[in-house]
Amino acid sequence: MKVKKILFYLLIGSIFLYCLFPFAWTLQTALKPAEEVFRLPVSYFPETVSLQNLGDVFTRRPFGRYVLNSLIAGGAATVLTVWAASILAFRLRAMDLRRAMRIQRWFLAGAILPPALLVIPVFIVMKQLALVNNYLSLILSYTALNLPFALWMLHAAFRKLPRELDEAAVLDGFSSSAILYRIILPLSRPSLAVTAVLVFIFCWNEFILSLTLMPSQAMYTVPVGIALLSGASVYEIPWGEINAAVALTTIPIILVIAALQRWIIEGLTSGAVKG
Amino acid sequence: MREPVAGISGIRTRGDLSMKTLILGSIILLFIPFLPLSANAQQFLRMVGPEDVGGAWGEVISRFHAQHPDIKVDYISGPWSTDERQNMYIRSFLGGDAFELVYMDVAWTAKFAAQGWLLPLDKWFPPEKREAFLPADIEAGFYGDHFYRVPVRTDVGVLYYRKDLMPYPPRTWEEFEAVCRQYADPPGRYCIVFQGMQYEGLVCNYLEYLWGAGGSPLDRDQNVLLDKAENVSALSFMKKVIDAGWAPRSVITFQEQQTLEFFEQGKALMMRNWPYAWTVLSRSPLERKVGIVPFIHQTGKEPAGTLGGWGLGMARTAKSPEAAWRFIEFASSSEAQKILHFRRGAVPTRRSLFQDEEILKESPHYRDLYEVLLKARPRPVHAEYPRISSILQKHVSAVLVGIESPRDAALRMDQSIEGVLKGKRRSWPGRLFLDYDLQKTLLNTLIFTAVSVPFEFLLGLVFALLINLPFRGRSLGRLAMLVPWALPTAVMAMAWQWMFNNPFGVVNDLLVRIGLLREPLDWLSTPEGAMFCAAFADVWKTTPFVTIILLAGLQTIPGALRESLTIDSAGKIAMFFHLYLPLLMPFIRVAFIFRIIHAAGIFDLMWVLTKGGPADTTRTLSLYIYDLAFRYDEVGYGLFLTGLFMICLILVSLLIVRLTTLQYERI
Amino acid sequence: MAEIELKRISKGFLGGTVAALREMDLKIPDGAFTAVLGPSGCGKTTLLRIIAGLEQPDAGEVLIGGRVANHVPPPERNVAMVFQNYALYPHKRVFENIAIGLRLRRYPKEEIRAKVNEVSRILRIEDLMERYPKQLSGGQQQRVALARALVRKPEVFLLDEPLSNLDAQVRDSTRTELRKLFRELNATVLYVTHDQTEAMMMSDFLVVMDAGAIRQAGDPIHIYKEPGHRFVAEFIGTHRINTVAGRLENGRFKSTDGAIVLDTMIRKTGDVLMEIRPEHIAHGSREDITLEGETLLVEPMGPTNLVSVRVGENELKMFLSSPPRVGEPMRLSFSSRKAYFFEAQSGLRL
Repeated sequence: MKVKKILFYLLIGSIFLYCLFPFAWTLQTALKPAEEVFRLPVSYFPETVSLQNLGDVFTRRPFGRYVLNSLIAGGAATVLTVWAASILAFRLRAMDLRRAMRIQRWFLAGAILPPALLVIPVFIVMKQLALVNNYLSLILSYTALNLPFALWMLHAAFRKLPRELDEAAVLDGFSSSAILYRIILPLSRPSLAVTAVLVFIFCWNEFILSLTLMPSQAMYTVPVGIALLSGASVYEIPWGEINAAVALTTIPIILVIAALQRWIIEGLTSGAVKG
Repeated sequence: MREPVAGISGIRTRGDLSMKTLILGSIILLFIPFLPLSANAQQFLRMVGPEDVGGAWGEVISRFHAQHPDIKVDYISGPWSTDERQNMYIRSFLGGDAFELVYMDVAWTAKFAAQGWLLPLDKWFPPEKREAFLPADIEAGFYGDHFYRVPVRTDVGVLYYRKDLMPYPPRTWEEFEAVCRQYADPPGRYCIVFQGMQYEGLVCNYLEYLWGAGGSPLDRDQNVLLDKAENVSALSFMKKVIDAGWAPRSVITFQEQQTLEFFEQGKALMMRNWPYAWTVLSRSPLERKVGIVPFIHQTGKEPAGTLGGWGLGMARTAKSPEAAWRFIEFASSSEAQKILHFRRGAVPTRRSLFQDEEILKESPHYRDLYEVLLKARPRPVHAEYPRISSILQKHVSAVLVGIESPRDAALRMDQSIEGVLKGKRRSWPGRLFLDYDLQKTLLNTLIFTAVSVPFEFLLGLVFALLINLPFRGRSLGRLAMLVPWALPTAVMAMAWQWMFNNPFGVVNDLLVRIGLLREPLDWLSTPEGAMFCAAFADVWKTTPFVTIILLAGLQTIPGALRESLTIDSAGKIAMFFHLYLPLLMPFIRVAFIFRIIHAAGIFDLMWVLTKGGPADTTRTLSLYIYDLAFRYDEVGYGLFLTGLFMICLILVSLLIVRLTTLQYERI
Repeated sequence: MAEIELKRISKGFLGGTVAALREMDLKIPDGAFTAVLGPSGCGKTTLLRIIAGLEQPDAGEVLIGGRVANHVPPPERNVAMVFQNYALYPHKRVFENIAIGLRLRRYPKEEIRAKVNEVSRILRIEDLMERYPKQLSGGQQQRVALARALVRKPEVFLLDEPLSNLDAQVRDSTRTELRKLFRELNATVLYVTHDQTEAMMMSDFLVVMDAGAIRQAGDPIHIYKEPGHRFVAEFIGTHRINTVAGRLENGRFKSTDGAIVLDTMIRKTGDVLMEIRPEHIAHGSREDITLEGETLLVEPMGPTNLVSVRVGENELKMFLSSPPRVGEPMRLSFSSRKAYFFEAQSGLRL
């Protein structure tokens, strides 16, 4: 029995390691001074911790600008997505379940396509609208891309609230938008938060659309900026800085995920039960 | 809008209000983030170049600013790789916010001009002005009857050799072999290093072998000549250089910089590189120990160096062409070229500068170089050059890596280029069968999907079953599991690239330490290695997704069922097959379809981790389609393939649904 | 206060495949405490929601206080509703829950406070005003829900099974209180329930519904005594009524098996059902119809016993304080005036 338990924890431990190792490795590389990054044998714990790389990313490269771009595009898209999704989810909730599920399935079917297949048509449209190199192109396409997911999460959350609540509100004299904004939304705050956080993370992570729709360097988002950081110098690929940028990009995500872990798992899995 | 099934019809009568706000709000939002980018009133010009090492461009620009205070030139540091910078320009043209000054390689001119992205410079640059420049460079500035590109610095492929280690430089292939046999001593000292990575530089190297064998890619009437014997012997000789150990095998990952470092460290007798290397070498321990000669050729044939070099053109959309021209004129003046020469080692394009005392004092080898330059040959001037180049790169790389024989490679090059040039004239469906790239990338996509998806499922299922058990530290386990899912693929691809790095990557280090590898492996430059890395990173990234979905499924299995099965004394395995698997099936199906579709459509990971290389062995369909649309400018064909791809994915999904729907779900 | 009238109201669900209400006509007197009684799914809640305006009828007219209210939005109908699960706003304190309806109608602050205080005093919830609904017991939540309805002084109160979520003890006391409260208010109340005892005890006016139609409406005692429809006879009553199938010919009823024969005043011919309540059957031969049978089953019920007796092919139930043993022969009798006859096909009273 005891052996079994030890084996079990070993297994869990190795999964843990497997999942976190790349991130941990990035972090430790980012903290090494340049000489130590390119030294053999590889050191597993930085002998000297240096914030040089982390600083360089901001001073020697426009990383701050990339972060700003990502925040603008991702933030606006998140607000827009959650807003639109809550209105749509509110309407779906008013329908009977079968019908609502059918509509929702269509939304989700649209969302299953990989962005690589959407990029050409999206680019053509954005070009027509003269929105290339404009935040709006990303905001709009991110909204469209994430709307089904947000709708799915919020619909599941809204469905959990009793219908009588709205009816009581109608009799009390709430208008329909007031019911959404003053009753449904405040009561779904945890789901709303999880949805918003996940949508933002998806936007923050998105690559191909941002690569295509924002061709000027001043408009790069973080992932594009990092991917194109490679070989930006004559003498060597600046691995120290790259790892610093990667670490800076991923740490906030991990913190948020850690803070909301329970809610995220709950939100994702209970939503799935319905779908 | 009247549904018979009314949940809250009282609300519906007023419900349209929120829909109206949605629409109205969207319209308002459309106008909020219009952050104008370049609404500057001052005449504002941008150019993209490599990082301005030595500050040469900085000085050119500041002198220009001194003369023209009303014009502001912004030098944007792009990636070191010329391909990447070309993509930056292409994206800026497509995006409608083109960089005004187009600092372009000779090889880009035809394509950019054919697309109509460039403004002809004839009116500012009449024939009498052209005479002051090297003839090959001027020739390369033409597309059709118009002139588009003023040469700023020229380049030509030359052979550097160690004067101190060998008595005479080899001129022919035979002499080269002899020299190598006699003086090289790998792995301490190889005979030659060159640029063998799959990129534009490889084509420059290869063309010198091809021209040296008396061949040529295209004739004057644009007929493809690559199935000829000259091409086979050029490719065979390149392969021999590596196989015989005259060049280190790692040249297949080398660009100019790595080549130069290798040579600088004294690890090779000869180096094929551009003239800029001279400046670097003359400040190194190898000062005065290096000589320059034209590249080697087959006995009885003519040597030729690939013409390179950079020049300035201007975007058709430039708002103030006059200002742009003033800068182009200045940047190609003797004054600027001298700055670029002294600070950057740039070879001038003005003939007069090759007799310039100051220059000759610093670079006595320019006398030799001038002769080589007069024999320089440009790469094929064709609007489809980028496609031609990428086909050449791919097959030359395939030969060097050893996955294609020189004969096969020569035939495939010929067919593919023929296919591209002909396919342009064919209907899209007809083109499918000529499209070698399509077949190749489709195969890669299938391999990648077939390798990564099963592993994701197996691991995902194991993770889900484990995580679903009650144990101490479960929430920590769940957190760890969420992490790969939530991290950006493109960004983590960089992390993986670093981890698989040779020799500084942790993967190599670990494997060597535990004794699985004798020496570090160059994971990303072998076909199997690169595919493995991509699949490994993808499995890492997407296993949690499968786990989350299956976890959701596990939570729908009522505990009572499990208990009743336990009472029926079912073992764990029986329990899995009789209870878990059938009840999880709807979830497995969703996850499976999702994963298949996304693995087949993979882009971010490949684009960053392997760029499709080496020799296109990890180039997937999405990368190809993306290139079609955004590099080769064949949006229509790209869309057509996208459509086909989408239909295939839908069919596959439907098939999966059919095959995995269990009897009990059909009722 | 107002009278409510429904004219030929129809309502269907799922695209009309399921009819919830069929051409219903109903007039609810002003100021009456009206119970709507019926089994679940009979359409009684739909009726309530149509009156509240939460559902639109497919056809027909709703009149409140003599005015057609079909297109009056719910908040303007001046009706208040108490929901089965109370539907309190979980994120608002008790005070806000009660006050919100007034706030939205833009009453002055002081007036709101005064009204809420008054109602909460009546319902004895003054001490709960700062709590959240989750911190209240079921009974307290119910009072808050009532307070929310009362505070607006509506013309019509709609109560949807307000007692069903309470446990038995609280339910009994609340029932009495509710009745008292609304009698004092003299308000028009529509009270939906599936519990016939509740309906009988509380209402001035009783509406019995089944399958989307009204079977009988009127004074509860009258309905009990003179059920107008077979359904009503069977649904109302502490114990299930005895039913004997048979045929009526020339004023003479004869059960299908021939065991029960009696004369009636009804001059009609056809298949009918005779029904008689267990409490109207007596032991021995005191009444005019006497039958012989055999004891089948004795179910003790404390002070009395429910005895099943087989008469021919029929099984009749009756109450007996001193029961016979199973298998013993029994003589029983009933008054023919207490027996109801219903047309077999339509279920209508003859």
